[in-house]
Amino acid sequence: MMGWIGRGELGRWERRLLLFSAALVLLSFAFPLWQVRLIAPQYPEGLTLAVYAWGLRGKLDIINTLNHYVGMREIRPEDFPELRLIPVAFLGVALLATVAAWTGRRWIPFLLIVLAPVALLGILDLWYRLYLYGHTLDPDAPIRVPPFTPPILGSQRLANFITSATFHVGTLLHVIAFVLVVLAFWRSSPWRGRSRS
Amino acid sequence: MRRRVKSAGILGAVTLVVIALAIVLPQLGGRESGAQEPGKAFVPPGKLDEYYMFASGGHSGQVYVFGIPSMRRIRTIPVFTPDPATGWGYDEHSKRMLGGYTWGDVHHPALSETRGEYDGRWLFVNDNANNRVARIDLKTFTVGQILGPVPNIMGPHCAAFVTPNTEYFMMPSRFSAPIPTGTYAPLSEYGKKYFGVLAAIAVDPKTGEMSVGWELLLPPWQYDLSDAGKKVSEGWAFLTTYNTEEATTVLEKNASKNDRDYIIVLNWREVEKAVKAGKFTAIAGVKVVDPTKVPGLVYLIPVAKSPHGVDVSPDGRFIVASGKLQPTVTVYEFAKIQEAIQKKDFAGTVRGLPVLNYESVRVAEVPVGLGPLHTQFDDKGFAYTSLFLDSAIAKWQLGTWKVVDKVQINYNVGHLAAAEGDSASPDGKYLVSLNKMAKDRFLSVGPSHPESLQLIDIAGGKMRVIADAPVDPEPHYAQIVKADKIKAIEIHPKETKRPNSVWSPKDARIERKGNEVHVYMYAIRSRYVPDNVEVNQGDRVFFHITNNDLDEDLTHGFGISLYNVNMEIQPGETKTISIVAEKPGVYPFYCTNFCSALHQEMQGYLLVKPKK
Repeated sequence: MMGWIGRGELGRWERRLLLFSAALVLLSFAFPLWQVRLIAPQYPEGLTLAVYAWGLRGKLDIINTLNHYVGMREIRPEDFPELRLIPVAFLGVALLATVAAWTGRRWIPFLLIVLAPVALLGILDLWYRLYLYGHTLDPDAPIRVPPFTPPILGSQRLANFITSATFHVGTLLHVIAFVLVVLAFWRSSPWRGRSRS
Repeated sequence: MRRRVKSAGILGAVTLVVIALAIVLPQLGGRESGAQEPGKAFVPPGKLDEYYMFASGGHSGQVYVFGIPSMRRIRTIPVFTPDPATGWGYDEHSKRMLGGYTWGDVHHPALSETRGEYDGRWLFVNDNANNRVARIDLKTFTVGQILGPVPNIMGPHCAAFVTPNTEYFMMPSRFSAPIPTGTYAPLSEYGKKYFGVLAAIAVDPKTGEMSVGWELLLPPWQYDLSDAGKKVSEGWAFLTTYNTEEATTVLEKNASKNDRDYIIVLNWREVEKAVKAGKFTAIAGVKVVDPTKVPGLVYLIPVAKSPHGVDVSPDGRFIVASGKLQPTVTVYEFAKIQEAIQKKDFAGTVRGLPVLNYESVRVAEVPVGLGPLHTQFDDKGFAYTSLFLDSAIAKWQLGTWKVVDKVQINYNVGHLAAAEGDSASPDGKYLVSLNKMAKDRFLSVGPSHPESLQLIDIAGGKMRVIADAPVDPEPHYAQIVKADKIKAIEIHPKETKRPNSVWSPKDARIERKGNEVHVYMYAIRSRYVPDNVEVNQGDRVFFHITNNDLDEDLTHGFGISLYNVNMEIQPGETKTISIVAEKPGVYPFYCTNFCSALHQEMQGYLLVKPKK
């Protein structure tokens, strides 16, 4: 059983696919992974907060100022230590894929596929963060609202604001990279009945 | 009986028709001279104008900003007059800039230029009353510098018309006076001890910082308007002068006696050289050059009496002077002026200055109409001259010198402003008529009338009045610039090292230094930190307030009841206001500029403990 995982070589095309997916992972640093946008009648242009692999960007100050009216804690980048792990993890994935393309070892894409679900933990973490912000409201706040969880995906209305959250290009690039890795692994599997070298 | 009834009926009908006509006819007449093409100036809600117009506010001391073509008044920029809403003249910084003066008389706004084109960086405006000039920075639409009172000059009506790369603008005296300013001399010595002084204000090309470059001693006449040469005439400046009669009383009569007054032709590059060569006398700390002692700097050209505007054509070839008491504009050609200077084609000298031979330099006298004052240009070789007495604008062609069109305006036009009109390449789309009288054009507001601005479409062959707009007294001149040239910021940058700034409620504090109390205040919607301040009677209290709402249009105010101070603090801005706590008691301070849903809660108390 382990034979077809570990041993054997990746073909030329599979290596290219892996190299390409490594490039996509690196490219993802340039785009937000996730983005939330608050739109109100007086903010037709929207207030955007974007999560990048390397940190937060956007109208954080203004969003914090507005959030204080409902007693939400200030969102501060230093409160997200996990954001420091993400770039390391992404660089590791890109490095592994490159090594696989270089050496042709089939176990590496297998490892990447097995590790992929870890990303779901990241999403879970984000959801938990959102839950905490919406459920630890200052009871002395000027405007009292029932506890809520800001959306991780989709829209929600709170007073005059419509909050829309979406996974962004960065995440999409990761999904494509993952598909490419699976494809590379699949193409070189003995089940396809042929192996190129 | 029946016949009598019939004739009475006819008579009644005729009477009714006459009455109806009497009511309707004048209205028809009024409509003719009104908006002839409604809709052309319409800019729908939510849409922006194509041009900014900066209009001087005259004796209001301010500058008005309009959108063209909608003629919507967008903003008033406080310049020489305190303005409690923004805090201009109330906060420490602007109070220092105003130097105790409470008004100014703004006449001619000038946009900074690079290679003869408006570059959208600064706007310079003169104060005809107090010999000052201000620079408005168009990133923030606020005054960055006020220079003056400039020594030796008096009433710099002429300013500000910048040279093509904003090296200088000229500030000559409208009122000749003894120098240095503050010197007494009886009017009987007017001819000897009074001088018309021209100050050339130098502008730093990087920072816009203004300084007095040098001054020029001119005869004791009155200097009215100026324009800078451009392209072929770059390096020269032209000024109109009147009262060459040197009258000191009943000027309307005594200064209108001579048939000819003069255009001053000034070679400012040569003056620079003379200053470098040390050919000047220091008066009141300024390098003053006497052109009667240094030849080649100043020439006179005869012009129809009591001229007003002098305007250089976009290509710099022609100089157009309006003789307000003659129905013509006089056009001179720069090349001919140069030729006359070279050939020393002079008709004598007046007060030691050579007078060029009129016949040699004049190319045309255009019969535009009564009371010509100012001329603007388009992109197709036409000139537009305002006619004060005719209440009209004449369109005429450069080269053929023929008047091709006239349009009636309401009423008594002074200046005209064309889109990009003073640049080397006017746009030829719009012309604004800055009228001195509004009379019946707007709903009555009693004896004090607004002034009237009229927008004229000049894109087609015929001029058409397409909008009317009232305005507070009194725009004299305006400049119109393409909107995309102005790069205004929306919020001030967060400069954490800025003196007195506070960027976190934790850094907000109150510090005492003897009997001075400094409150370093943090403002954010909808609170001040600290919000209650206790001081002792007699303390001088400084409020240094930073608006931490780095959000577009999120302005906070700060006013203290019964302490007579108020100001605005713009997003990201730090401002300081001070009071002397003379009155004991408790005085609220509060946000005066509506900021947020809980604006009404944005307040605090100033508690002044009485002296024992």
